[in-house]
Amino acid sequence: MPAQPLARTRRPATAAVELRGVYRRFGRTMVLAGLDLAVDEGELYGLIGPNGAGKTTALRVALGLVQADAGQVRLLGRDPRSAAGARPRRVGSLIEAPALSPRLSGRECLVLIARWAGAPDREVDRVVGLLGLGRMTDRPTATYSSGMRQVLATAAALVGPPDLLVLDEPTVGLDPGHRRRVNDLLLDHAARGGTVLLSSHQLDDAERLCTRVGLMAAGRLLQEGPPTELGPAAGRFEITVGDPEAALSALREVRLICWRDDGKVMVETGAPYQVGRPDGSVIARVLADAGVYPSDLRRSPTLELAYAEATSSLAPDPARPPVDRERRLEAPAAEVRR
Amino acid sequence: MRRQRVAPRHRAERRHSPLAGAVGLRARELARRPEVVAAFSLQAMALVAAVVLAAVAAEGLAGAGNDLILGGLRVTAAPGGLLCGVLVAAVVGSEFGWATERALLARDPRRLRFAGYQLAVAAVLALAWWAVQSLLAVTVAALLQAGGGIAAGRAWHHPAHAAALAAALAATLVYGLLGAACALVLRSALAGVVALLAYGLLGELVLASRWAPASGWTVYASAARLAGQGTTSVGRAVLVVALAFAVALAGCLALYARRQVRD
Repeated sequence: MPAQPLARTRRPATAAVELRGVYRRFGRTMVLAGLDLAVDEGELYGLIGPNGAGKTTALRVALGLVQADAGQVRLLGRDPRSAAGARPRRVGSLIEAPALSPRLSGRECLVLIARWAGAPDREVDRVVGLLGLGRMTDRPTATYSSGMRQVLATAAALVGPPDLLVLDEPTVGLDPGHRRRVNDLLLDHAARGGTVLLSSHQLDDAERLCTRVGLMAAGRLLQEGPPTELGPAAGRFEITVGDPEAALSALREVRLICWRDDGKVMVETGAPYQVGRPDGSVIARVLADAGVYPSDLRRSPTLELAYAEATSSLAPDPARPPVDRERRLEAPAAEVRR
Repeated sequence: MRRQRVAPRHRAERRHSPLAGAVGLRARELARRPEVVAAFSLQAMALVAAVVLAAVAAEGLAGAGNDLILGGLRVTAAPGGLLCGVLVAAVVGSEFGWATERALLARDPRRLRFAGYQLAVAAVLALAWWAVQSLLAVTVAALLQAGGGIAAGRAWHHPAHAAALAAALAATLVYGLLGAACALVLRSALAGVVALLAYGLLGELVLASRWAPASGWTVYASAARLAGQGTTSVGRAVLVVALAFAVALAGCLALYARRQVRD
């Protein structure tokens, strides 16, 4: 299906979603405690964080489903709870569980959303094709599995097409095929100028898809930035090689910070005291010049360590003492081998 | 050739309003719900049984003497309207259980549009209830009276029967609105049904009937009066029904206008 340009022309660096100093309390629990979040138009922004961090509430506040106790909220430049304009806005959403009427067929659910949003009924055919739903949509949604319901709810969010997608864990419960398809659709949406704000516990998806990631805990944003630049593993590479010692000596020759870990050679390129900012191609060339040919060379997953580091202070686990990163970087390879 | 196929479809898409299209889909969905079909069927069976028993016992129905058509319409008006309200509360409230509210409000934050959509669905259901029950009451009563030698042309006393039909419509719409209002404000099928039953059964039928000053001011008594039963003035009955309608409509819209969707 050919990609369709989105209806509105994108203005770069304009915030599609903006929350400034937002507080929200449910009973005695402070769920959002001064949250500052800005998602620019055309971004694919991921919110990650432990359960109870306030991610879903942040999305609800952004959509205007829940009013903030204090702070400023803007959605596509307007108050999200405002009725000004008196027409549906171009926002697709999936918040928590899929919202589907069990007695309607999948297609009828999509038609209902399309009609409510003022979109033509042919939009339904488009999203059915995008997600490869086919004849499944002729059955009542009561007969769907949880994964199928999730796919249909994602399809409902794509009806419009919307300028902004707000998705709460969109790939939870999906089979690998649909998970990949949904992720590709999100990338495609952002590539065509649309904006995506998603929350997820799938750190690998967030790392691969998102242009920026916000790490939330206790109702605040703790860290924010491109996923490759977050946390202690930012700029770290993992090398799988037959002769690790030869690789280590070659890398140390050119003053790269490296060590051996679980049979792999780790290279640190993002440390503040690192001279220059060597990337994967530099590392590969250094190894090749030394006659060492790795079977695998990749960036280390960053979000997992960033997540662990940020959340360890919230819920310390006495069974796993915190790692002294500085010491490990400077220690000989034998000392850090487990 | 291609143009001939595409153009009519676009015209059809432009013709209906988005809200009307959504209400139409919900109406189709209601017809598939077992609880709706069961409620319609049970009420129909009770109505037919009441008319048949009245004909067999020759004791009349709802104070209408041997006029079974009028008796059937009076049953449709007062207790039938209350039952319709309970059904509407269950139907509107179930929407909140499926969480479709948040998907729709995320697309369009206007609470009043969503409330209007739900009230329109409630109105469609109430009208269908009134039409089916009234048609059934008139048809069964006319057939039974024809069996007893009363021709249909003579059996239909236009002013009294038309008033009873109008009273049944008013009662069904008012109780339907009350049911929808309870479900909208409480955002739950169970809470909506309980609230309406507490108001209708306990408040109107039990407590008000034991307290003389209030007995003529209930929706139930007013609907019955409009259908030709009771001794209070018709003006007061019209006032009570109109007031109940206005208060329920204004109250539920005012309360829902700032609704937060936390669940």
